Amino acid sequence: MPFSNQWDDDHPFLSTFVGAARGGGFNLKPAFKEIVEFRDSQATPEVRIADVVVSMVRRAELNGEDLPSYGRLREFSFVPHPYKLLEWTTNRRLPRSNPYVES
Amino acid sequence: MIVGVDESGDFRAGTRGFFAAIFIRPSERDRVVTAHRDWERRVRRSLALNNELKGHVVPDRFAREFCNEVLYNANGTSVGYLAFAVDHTPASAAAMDLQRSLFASGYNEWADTMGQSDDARKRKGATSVRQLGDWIRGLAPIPFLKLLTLGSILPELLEWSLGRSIADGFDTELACSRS
Repeated sequence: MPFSNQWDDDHPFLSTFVGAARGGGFNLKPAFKEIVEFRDSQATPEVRIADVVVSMVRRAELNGEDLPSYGRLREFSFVPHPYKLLEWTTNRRLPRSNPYVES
Repeated sequence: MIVGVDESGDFRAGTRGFFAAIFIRPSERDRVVTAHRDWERRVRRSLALNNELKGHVVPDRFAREFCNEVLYNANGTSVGYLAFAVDHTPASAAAMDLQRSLFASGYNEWADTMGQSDDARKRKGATSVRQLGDWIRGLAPIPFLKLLTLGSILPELLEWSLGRSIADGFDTELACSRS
């Protein structure tokens, strides 16, 4: 997680969401869980905006639709590639201890 | 940052499903929401739509207006996005089966440990953990694929959210983050 070395303990993100240190990391406060919400798209503009974006990506990249506006959309992407393709495999990382059951 | 995520595709076997996340600076939300509402109203009127406007029916002309009026902001705080895709292949189906069983056994193990605790609150919590494990075990392949993919995307969105806020100098607004 990228933190700025300019932040002190009073920084709004740290004071709102970051709790005690634990092992090599830290716990997030319950407030963090509360900011992740699953909302109905019809009532949530942010989700509807994401719907337009993801539809344009799919129409242009997968369906091969002639969508000249897609070039303009790409200017708003954080990354130069059109999308990141995730591949699931049955390979697994080595097991590690479960932080939830540590004493 | 305010992060909105949505998906496109039916994620059936043999298909590629997409996710996109948009990033809105909290202090820009009102402008973006107002611009989106105005844009959407125009598109719905033009298409004579009575129900929800879905992205797959937006004509190119309106898609361009969407970029220029909703996403773009001349003051340098435009809405950014990231896109992801996942294939529903036999390999990913096998991975989902394995992950589902790992989750289920992990939650069972966790519930057993909590159930043996001297702490009454932990013993009480064991039931919820076991129910969560049962819920995951019963999830159909497509919702499970979406859930797992979304779960692996979220940390990356958080990283981008923090990094962009710091780089663009509005990290003090991070306390207003949500996704």
